[in-house]
Amino acid sequence: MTNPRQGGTTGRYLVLMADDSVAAATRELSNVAGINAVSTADAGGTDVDFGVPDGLVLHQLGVAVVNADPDQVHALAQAAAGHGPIELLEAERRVYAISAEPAPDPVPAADESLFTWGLQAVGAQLSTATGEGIRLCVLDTGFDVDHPDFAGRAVTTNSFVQGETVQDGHGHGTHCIGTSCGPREPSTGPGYGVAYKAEIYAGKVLSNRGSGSDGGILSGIAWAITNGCPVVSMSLGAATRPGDAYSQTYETVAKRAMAQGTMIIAAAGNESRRQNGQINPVGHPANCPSIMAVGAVDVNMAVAWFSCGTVDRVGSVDIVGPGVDVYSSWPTPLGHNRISGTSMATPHVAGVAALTAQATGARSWELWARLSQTARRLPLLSTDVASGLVQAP
Amino acid sequence: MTHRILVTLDDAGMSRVDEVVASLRAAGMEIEQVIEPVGTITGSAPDSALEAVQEVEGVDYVEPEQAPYQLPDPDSDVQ
Repeated sequence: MTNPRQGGTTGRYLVLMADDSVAAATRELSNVAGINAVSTADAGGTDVDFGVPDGLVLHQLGVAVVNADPDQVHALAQAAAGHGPIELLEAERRVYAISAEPAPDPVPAADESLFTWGLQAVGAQLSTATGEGIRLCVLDTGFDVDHPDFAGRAVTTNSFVQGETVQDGHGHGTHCIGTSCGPREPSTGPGYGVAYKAEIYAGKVLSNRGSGSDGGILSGIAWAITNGCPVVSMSLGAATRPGDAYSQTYETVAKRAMAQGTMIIAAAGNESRRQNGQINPVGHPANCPSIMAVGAVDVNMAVAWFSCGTVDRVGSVDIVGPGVDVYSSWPTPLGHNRISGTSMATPHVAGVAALTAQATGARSWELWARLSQTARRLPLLSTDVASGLVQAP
Repeated sequence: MTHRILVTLDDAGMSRVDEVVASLRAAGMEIEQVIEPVGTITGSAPDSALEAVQEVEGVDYVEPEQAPYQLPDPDSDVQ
């Protein structure tokens, strides 16, 4: 309040006119206060002069900006208090362009004695939501179905890779399922799972060698829709070049999934080399407008060096999650592993989506909106982090 | 040359998938998978058949299948 650059008035007044009463209110200005305001309606397409002596009627807004001496102000205030076409009188405020304040340094959350830094960064450990009753589908390299950290959990599996069972012979899928759905109190190490009571739907669409095809991925999406999964996590994709069009197939599929209550969340891609100033575009299929594209940040809330960015008009990063040095489950005998990638950021967002779906009942575009709206804003480029760091409800 | 393709049906096509699949076969497409919940059909077709496949009633559009997706090796730091 004491900062002279903030607040203050111009000496002019704003007159709010009743709905559909601009003409009557303009006459009233003249009748009660002798103010003959010029209307933008009379100015045609030409620029209007805000410096006119008496005042200016902004007819589209139903607002007049007027110069008024104390007697005129009194008369207008009386008119506003009555039931005429003038509804309100306010002193015009002085406004300034909003300047950015330096953000406080984020507190590193590297104490992982109880929970991973990623869980803490998204506030999962503070949320009362658990993901219970929500089916979360991870389409990846499958799952280590006998992993001790998941004993007693509801797990439904299906392999869309010919000749391979759902058993994860790579590790990537088990890691992603761990982040999105894993335990909070495993027998060893920190808790690492966001939606720790979600029903796990593990679809194997990438082989033990890490490769897959459109047929398997689209079949996996169809499986998730058929099973009523509100959230599909896809830490997979292919690199794109600037200017590449997104796939109309995946966009149509994503819209059809949304129409049936299933939201697809996908990794933005790891093709940037930011240490060299190189930012590569969001990969396929995360670049589809109806698929939520997830970038990665590190423990200090810096964009990960590999995280793809928004390069074209379409194909934007939509949100970010923890994606550097992420600890999660891995097929036994190793049991756990610490790796990086937008693949690791994606299941953080998917887990939070499951928590949000449980806590609010939101599905598809409403769920998307809630994730965007509640994300923690970061003092970074919107082309890199969009609405910011996903936050648990 | 034969192309691996993704055929996406329009809404009308989704309501009569069996007929569209038959028409695609007649147009020269070899069908692999019919993924009904999302309205996508995978398979392959020779150059000479691509136009006829696109012209089948109920087809929204035809795209080439992506090159295979590939994750890094399990021991890679960035995945």
